[in-house]
Amino acid sequence: MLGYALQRLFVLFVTLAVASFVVFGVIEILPGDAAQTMLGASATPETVAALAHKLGLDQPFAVRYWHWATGALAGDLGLSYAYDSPIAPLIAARLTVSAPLALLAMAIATAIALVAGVYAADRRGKLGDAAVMVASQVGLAVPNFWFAILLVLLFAVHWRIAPAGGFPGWSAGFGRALAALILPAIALGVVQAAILTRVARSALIETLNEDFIRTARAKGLSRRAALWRHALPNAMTPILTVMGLQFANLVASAIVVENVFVLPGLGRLIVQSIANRDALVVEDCVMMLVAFVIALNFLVDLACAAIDPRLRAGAT
Amino acid sequence: MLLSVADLAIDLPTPDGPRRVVHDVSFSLEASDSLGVVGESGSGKTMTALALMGLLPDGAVVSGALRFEGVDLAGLGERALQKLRGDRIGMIFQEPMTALNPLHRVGRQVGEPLVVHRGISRAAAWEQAVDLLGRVRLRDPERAARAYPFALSGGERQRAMIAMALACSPDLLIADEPTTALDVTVQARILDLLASLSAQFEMATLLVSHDLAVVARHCHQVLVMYGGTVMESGPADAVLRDARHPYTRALLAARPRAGAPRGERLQAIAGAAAPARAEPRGCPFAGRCPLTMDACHAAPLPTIELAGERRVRCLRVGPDGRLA
Repeated sequence: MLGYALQRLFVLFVTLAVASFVVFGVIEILPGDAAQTMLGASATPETVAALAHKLGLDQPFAVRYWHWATGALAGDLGLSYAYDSPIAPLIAARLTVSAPLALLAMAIATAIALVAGVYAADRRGKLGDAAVMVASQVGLAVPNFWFAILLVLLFAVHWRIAPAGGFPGWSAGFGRALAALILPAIALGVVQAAILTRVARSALIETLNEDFIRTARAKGLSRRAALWRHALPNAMTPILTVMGLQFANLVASAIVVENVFVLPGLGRLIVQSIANRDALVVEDCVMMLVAFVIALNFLVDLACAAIDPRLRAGAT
Repeated sequence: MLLSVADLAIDLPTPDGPRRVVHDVSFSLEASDSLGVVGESGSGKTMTALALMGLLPDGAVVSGALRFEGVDLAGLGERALQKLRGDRIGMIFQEPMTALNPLHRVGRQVGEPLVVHRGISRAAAWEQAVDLLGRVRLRDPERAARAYPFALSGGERQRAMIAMALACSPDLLIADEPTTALDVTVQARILDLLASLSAQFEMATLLVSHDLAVVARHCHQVLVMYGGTVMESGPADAVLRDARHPYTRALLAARPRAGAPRGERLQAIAGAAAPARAEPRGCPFAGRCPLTMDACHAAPLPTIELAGERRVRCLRVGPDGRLA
């Protein structure tokens, strides 16, 4: 197990290093000049050049990447051009919104997918299975920003049982803060659940056809006991793997959903910073999201190994 | 009578409607006796075994009478069947590589029937599992119990499967091709183990195999199946010594023998194995049989009772029991 964990950890660091390079490089080649944007269209080329020099924008790519990467490792994410303040506390404040939102959405998606997936697999080919498949098809087809607007219309405007948007901050009380996150989390989670339900269903059906399920039944286990005790644990590896992959998708969707609900999360910070040509903030935020996705996939690898002894032993 | 099967027929659902895969199968098995069911793939032997366990695929329809200790299995509900499975009737399968759950330790799986049927704790079941693993003569049963299935060889896994099937000392053990997936040298040892355990545990054995020689060596009775139905049945030594059905004879001729001259070719059965048909009519072997007459394709199969508890189903067998 330790060998496997170390091996995955090594992969994690290599992935992070490559990702940081790609993130930095892609933002660099985007058109737009931070100095020009800050000073406005009427600024003279001399003042723009002076500001660019002050911000270090005139240095070569490699030097700037090196400063950025080593600074980030030391916890210094640099200064925001637009806000003229350190980026680290800025991102930390946004994370108190985005991280709970992502976790809540993931929890909702997982809960729905496991319940619906098990239900459908248990009744495969029957009416209940068909109903779940149709529902998940609808869930897949619905864009989550549209679903988010629908939720606002129903729960905030029509029934008035949830806030339409904004975030009061955790200092306003746990309940109020959580209430502000519920609708966005549902908007994010339900669409993810649609995909995950299909994965859970097909992984379970595949496992239910395995010989060891017949063995379990031959021992005298009921259909249901064989499903819960023998099929579900074996189906968890593909389900967890897809959950890890989907998390990247969820993080990207969160940028849109945070904008619909006017949540002060990382997603909105990214959108605002792109508008401001605040390249360092965009790079830091995107890198932060990338790091989350990679770290979650590392955890998924560990969880799979905890479930499956063959992975721990390095066998296939 | 421990087990009696009369006029068993099984229909499996297919996209083109139900397909009859087993028909007109009758046999019986006394307590502690052994019966070998022989046939090629698709002969219906595995379906017959699964029907006894009530573990046929979803949508399968069974007709006929299946009696276990006089109780009609068809009349039992799913819960009552669950009480029989793994407790009174144990079953081992063809593929030891995939028949064990890869995520659970072997000891837990071997002890699981005891947890299910005897309601004992997992720890107590583990102790008994180690004991059972010793009885199936696994070296170092403690280690085998702690191992995950992937760490064991095919032979070791099949021994673990046998230990699992024996956990509740069943009255009947169904072994569906228990050695087909194993090396030849391992096969013989597993079969000898099964024979000695059957005696020890005083249980009846139903051995399903495609190998007539294996069945002949290990079973008192033999049932030769083809195309979903029974061709010939009787005491194994008598059937082997003096087979009456052309199919049984063909099977015997197709078998490699020790002492045959080097380079002698094995006798292949001409044609391909007949699939079971929707409307069984005539003899399923008619298309490949060297002795086919026109009537074989259409007339219902007769059942001819011979002396010594033997039965043969062939139009070419005369009233004297001889193949004409």
